[in-house]
Amino acid sequence: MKTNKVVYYLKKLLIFLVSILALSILVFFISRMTPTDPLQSYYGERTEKMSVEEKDRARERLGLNDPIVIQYGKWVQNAFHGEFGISFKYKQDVKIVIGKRIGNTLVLGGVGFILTFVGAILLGVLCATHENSLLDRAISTIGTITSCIPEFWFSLLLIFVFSVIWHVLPSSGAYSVGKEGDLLDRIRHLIMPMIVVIFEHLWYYAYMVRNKLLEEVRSDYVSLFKSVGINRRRIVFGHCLKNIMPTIVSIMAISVPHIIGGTYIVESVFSYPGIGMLSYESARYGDYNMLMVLCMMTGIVIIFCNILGQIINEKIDPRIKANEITERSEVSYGDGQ
Amino acid sequence: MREETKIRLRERKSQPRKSMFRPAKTEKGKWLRFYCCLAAVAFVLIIAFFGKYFAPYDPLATDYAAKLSAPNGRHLFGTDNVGRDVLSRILYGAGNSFMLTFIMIAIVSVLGTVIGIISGYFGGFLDTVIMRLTDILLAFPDTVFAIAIVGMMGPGLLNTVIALSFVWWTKYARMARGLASVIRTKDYITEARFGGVGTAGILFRYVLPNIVPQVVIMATLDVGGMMLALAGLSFLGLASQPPTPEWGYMLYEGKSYLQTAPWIMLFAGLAIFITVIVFNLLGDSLRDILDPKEN
Repeated sequence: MKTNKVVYYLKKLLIFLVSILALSILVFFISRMTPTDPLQSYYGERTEKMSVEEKDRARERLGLNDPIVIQYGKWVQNAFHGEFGISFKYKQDVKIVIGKRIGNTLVLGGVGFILTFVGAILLGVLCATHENSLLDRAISTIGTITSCIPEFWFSLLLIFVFSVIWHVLPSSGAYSVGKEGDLLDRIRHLIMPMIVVIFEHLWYYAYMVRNKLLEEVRSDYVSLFKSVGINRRRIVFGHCLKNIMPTIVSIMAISVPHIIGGTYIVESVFSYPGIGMLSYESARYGDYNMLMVLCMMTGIVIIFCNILGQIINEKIDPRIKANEITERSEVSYGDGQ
Repeated sequence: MREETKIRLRERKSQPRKSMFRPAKTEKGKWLRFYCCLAAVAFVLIIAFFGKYFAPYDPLATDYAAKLSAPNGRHLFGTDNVGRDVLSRILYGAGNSFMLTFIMIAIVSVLGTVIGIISGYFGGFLDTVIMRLTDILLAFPDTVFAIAIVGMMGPGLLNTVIALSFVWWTKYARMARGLASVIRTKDYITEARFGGVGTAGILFRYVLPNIVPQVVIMATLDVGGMMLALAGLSFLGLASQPPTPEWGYMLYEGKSYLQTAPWIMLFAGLAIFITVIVFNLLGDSLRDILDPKEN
């Protein structure tokens, strides 16, 4: 029994490592096969005026003239030593550039993620305990509508109302010029992006919680508890919610990619200096080293969360075969991306 | 009293709402809802494909004298930065947006279904490889993945189509594979084979017809999502190129004129929103009627 468990987790670990390896190969080769010229991100406008020899020398210096396989080998070797090269655009160690930005994304995505799920659980419980009430219906209607609003349009609407008409909130960036250390200023910049991140996902997950809870409330033990005279609130919070918690956690784990995806788009609308903006820039202008690290970071988080979700799901319901990600497709229905 | 509550609990047990959209309770209500949604979709489609005949102006005609004018009698939805009529651009853009969406849906559903059927029907090593591949692809947020691919290959419609197809086919492949692997074991397949029907015949005459309805439902449900994905890429300036009127791209243009001409982004976004919601409602009511799980 115990060896079975070890084998099980080793298998998961193996899937994790193979996925990451596959991802790194995929990104490395695709990025180098595309017509984007990495020199453009290094020299900017100047590239057009450079002669062929100059370009060749620059490529040689950046190690771009080797065959792709050798480049990849070198990259893996350096990666194991924690060296990811310099960013072509910022001419600094990739780690330093990312280090400056990652805090912003973590705050936006992380806090957004936590608030979304706390809110979803609260709303879900509220809806489930007041099934078919006005509140329940109102929330499901709002959920239906918001799931169809493109998040970039929603962001623009918010900017229009709060920045253009009322002038109460800043429309872009993470802080005002010269106010980098001002916490209040940062929070003011965070409000609108955060609202978008939360609103796009909150209703759908609240609805999931609601449905799962309603299924649970209909199980036989609840009627038994009711007939014994246990307080309704205690049944819902103490037993039902506790029972569906693993499911909720697995949904949470599986939905991390969606929140990350949403965060990236929101960052670009609000010109919020985070990882999403950086990823887009590096993909667009062939900043290879940067792109690799960012893709690997996102990929590792996503693959990890997926496997975590799978493990939880298989714990709850051993019938689920190890390789079915049915829940994931269920999640993707809702936010329509 | 207690007896009554017990009965009510039993009754409620049978109908927990699964769908995000409130399903109608009776069979008749379901169909009524379906027809309403169908009518709404038909209306949107008519506007999409015949809208350009109602357009008051040429969507590409510039009129610098009237640039950035607010909605008024002459320009119902106002004009943009070079004086193009926003209403005309939305009407013309509808055709482009829909065309692209439908083409994309057609590509991914056919591609996914074919791969899925092959994988599910023949099984074996090929099946394992294909399923592992979908595992990896499904693990990534599709929008981000598509943005990365288009970003690397450079903006353009063709690259967008390639990137989105690359991400979206997996869903169809998984479903078709699941159905095909079940159908394969059915008696009528064995009997057909005994009767001398070849593999191609079995696939086309027995397997495919059983899968198509599910694919259609999924495709209908996906129209909204696909339109959002395309609009998202256009909005980042990656898909449609100027001066073609397209909704997502209009939003992108409107973003720069948020201060002076908010109506550009307002109406373009509204068009996307209405289309998506109408299609999602239709897809949902279709699922309500056809999904055996609900009955």
